[in-house]
Amino acid sequence: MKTPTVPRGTPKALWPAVALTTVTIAAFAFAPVLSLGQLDLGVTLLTYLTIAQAWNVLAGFSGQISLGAAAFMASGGYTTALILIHTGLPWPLALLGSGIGAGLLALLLAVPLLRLRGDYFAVGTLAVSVALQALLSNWNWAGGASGLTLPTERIPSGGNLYQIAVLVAALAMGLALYVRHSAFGLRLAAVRDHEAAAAGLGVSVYRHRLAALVPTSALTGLAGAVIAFQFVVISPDGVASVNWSLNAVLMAVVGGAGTVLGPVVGVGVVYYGLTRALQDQQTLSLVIEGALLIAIVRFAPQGAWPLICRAGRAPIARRRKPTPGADTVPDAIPRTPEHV
Amino acid sequence: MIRTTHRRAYALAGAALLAAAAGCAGNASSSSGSSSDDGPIVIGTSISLSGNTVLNQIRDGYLLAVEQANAKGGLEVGGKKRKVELKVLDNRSDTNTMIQQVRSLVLTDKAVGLLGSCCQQNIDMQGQADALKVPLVMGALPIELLPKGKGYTWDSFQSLADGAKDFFEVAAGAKTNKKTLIVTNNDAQGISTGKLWAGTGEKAGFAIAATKSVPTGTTDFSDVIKAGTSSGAQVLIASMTPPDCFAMWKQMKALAYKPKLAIGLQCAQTPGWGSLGKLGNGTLVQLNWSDTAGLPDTDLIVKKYGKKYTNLTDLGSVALGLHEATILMDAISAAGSTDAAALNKALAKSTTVSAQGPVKFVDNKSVSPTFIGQWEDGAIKQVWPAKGGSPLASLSGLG
Amino acid sequence: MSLDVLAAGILAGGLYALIGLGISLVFGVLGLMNLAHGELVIGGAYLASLLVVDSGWDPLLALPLTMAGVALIAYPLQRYLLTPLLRGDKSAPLVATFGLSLLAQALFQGGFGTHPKSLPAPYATSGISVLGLRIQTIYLIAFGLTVLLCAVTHLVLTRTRAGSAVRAASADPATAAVLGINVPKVYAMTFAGAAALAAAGGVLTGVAQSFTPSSGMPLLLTGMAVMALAGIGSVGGVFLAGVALGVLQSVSVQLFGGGMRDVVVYLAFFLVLAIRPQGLFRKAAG
Repeated sequence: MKTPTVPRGTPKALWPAVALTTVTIAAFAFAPVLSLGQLDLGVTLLTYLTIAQAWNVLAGFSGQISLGAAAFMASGGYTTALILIHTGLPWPLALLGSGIGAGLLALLLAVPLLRLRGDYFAVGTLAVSVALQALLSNWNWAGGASGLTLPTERIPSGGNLYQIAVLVAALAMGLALYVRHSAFGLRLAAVRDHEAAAAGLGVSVYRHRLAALVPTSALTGLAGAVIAFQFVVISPDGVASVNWSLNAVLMAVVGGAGTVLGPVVGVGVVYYGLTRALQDQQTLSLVIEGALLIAIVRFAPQGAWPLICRAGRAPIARRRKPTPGADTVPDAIPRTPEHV
Repeated sequence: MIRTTHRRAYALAGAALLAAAAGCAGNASSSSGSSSDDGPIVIGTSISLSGNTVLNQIRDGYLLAVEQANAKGGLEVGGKKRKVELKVLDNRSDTNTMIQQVRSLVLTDKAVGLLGSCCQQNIDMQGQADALKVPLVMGALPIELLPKGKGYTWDSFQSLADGAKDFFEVAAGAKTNKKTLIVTNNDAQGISTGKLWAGTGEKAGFAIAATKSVPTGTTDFSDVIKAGTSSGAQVLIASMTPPDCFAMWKQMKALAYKPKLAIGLQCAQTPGWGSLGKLGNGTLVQLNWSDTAGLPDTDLIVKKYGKKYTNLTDLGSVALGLHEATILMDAISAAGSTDAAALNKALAKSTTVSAQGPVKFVDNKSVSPTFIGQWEDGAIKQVWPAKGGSPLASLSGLG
Repeated sequence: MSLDVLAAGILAGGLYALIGLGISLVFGVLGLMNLAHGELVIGGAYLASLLVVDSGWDPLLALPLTMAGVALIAYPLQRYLLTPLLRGDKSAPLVATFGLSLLAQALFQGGFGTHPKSLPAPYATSGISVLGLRIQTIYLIAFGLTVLLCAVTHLVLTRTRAGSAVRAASADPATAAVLGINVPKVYAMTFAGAAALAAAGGVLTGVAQSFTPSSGMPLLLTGMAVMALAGIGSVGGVFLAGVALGVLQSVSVQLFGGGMRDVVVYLAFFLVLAIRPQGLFRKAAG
């Protein structure tokens, strides 16, 4: 296993950063030429990308597998709705409030959550999200089981909403890029791969796990606000549904967890290949979706993106001398092999 | 080496994204006009066909209505006959999927009208109809439960008040001590149902001994049953999902709580109630349709689906779907246009007479008839209105 | 506080424990979070319905056969699908079991339809009086059977050669493999055993309540709650945790009303997890 060198001056991050900025500006500028249907679809896809990427940073790069995205979606959606309904504040402040609210919730929950390791963390986050959903259903001030309706005249829609979704998704992509290419990310990977060794080298495990949990939760909260703007009506069944958490995991894993572009591919594959393509198939859709998920993790356990990378690199590899370790994923932080 | 692959990878992905975006943009100009002139008129529904709730019967009713309309050459819009295309999407009982599908039906497929399916999802769908300003015709949501929206949702279904009135008339004819126990799920529908039935019961001279609400998925009802036995309530009203009622009926029998009259709102409507065997005998159920009531299109429904669905509640769901879709298509014909505002105006003046009787919307709501049925050996018999129905049997399953 | 209700809570806890035991075993030994556990439970109920509904067997007679049947289906799934995945990324087996759960739901829908089903038995709707308390017979049977199955599981794990192989593989699979233990086989046996326990829970659930193709998810959450309360590695802990969960539900329903039941249960679940990550009924890891 080769030792990764600490990046300095990060020339490696330059090109991806340029690419991200270009794509963001292009996507942003596309808004006027897109139809209403495409804008709406764009918002959906970008929101999924945001939560899948946030999950990816938390789980793929920092090793904290979460099943709690729904909790932060819900906190973001409800914060925005309650601010808009009960105060005269404009939507940008409500959006900001959602991010801050979800971040604070994460900070608060970190006290108990960060005591948990591995799969226990997953169970803990799942418990948080189910408890929050039950609480919202019983909380009459927040609309109880029927939920809340946002004031339509004071929220962004169409092209504006799409552009907000582009910016939020770009933030998520930017965070992933930063983590992928920074010394901070390298320390996170060390905590992920070998906690005791990382601690021995003077890396504060608690602070690094916290530093991954809080911003990813804030991003998920922003995604919740975007969904509230899009759906206009939010209810515990919808915005707090555990399906958000499952989708975040599915998309990131199918695309390739621990890689920057994996979630992008995963959103495409899961949303188009499964959700949309199968929506008039009934029982058969369950069969195909189940079988596909199993096939992907069985035969492409690192996800679709690394597979595509390898396919794209094959011509070069043939021209050059085969390098040892050439099958490591180019885009991922190297992972120490597990036992067995 | 790593650096070059990186650059290649990112360039590749960037190019792919741009190409996808460009492809989408190219699509835009070609698809936007599809529903406006000569093509079929698109109506859409997001309905649960898998997961917790499966509503194949309502979907079959929609399809029957569309088939009928297209057999006559379609609907006349702007002086031309145009066929109707119904888009049915399965939302797997998931609220988020439903919302996303409704939005894509309207924004991408240019559906001019929507059909609502059932229950709580109807309430969430109303928010979308109002936000997208597209008419939505729904049933299976008792009219009292339709929230006050912005006027794009039209609900033609039975009224909780009628159901309660009929039930208490049936109950007054049976020999009970008039003490009543009400148990509902604690969602919006359950809680409103509980309040309304309690009010009607008190007016009809019944005493509400206790009202309990339980979360969906409850399996231990000992607390509710305790309230029944300690108050001696002989009339039981349950408004819950089927699995909850199954568990409660078994537990009631085991714990020897013996009401004399019990109605299972929502839950006893499932044909699966028959799998309770004798235990389910005598349980009352509220019906939206009966084959002996002389409603329009009864023969059509029985002829087409009488073999596939043998149960009154299933055929009632087919009737419901047929009824909803007919209301929407009649309004398109009446408006002579697919414009949302014109369609909404036509719906307000709807005079459709379909599988659930005549329609007349007041405040977006139109009442359809209510029947009370009773389970007996795996089948439901109509017991109210007494005319055309069978006599009320005892609640032998729990006795 | 009504004693009838408390008694019903304790007895219902027996069934929770049985559902939690399988998921806890798989998680403890294999480190696998099995999202298809609910479907193993429901699969047991459906398999039993073939014998009970269609051939008129008594559910308790069908129970051992059902347990064996579900275990036979589960063994190759672990051996040839899930075990190879355990070597890679932690989230891969999670996704695979989610895929299995979808497949199983489709199978139930296709094979048995979507209407609720239930397993008829005379003891499903009979009750007995003990010390003036009225108790539902099926829950008493379920409680007894859970005690029995917990005891058997405990004895197998602590007193048999197979059990010590399981414990070795659980503690350190690499070392166990060096010592000549066939770790993949041990994993598959454990998974099959857990599936058999799940199937038993399914038959009892089918008799006491009802089941549909999508009933698995709430059962999975119940199982996870039990596991979290119990902590890993103690069969007795799982049993106590199931009972504690049943009591907690009963008490919260009486104190706060039925609507708040889930809030109380999941908050308690979370708090226990946070304050004692090793579980309520287990000493801190030494």
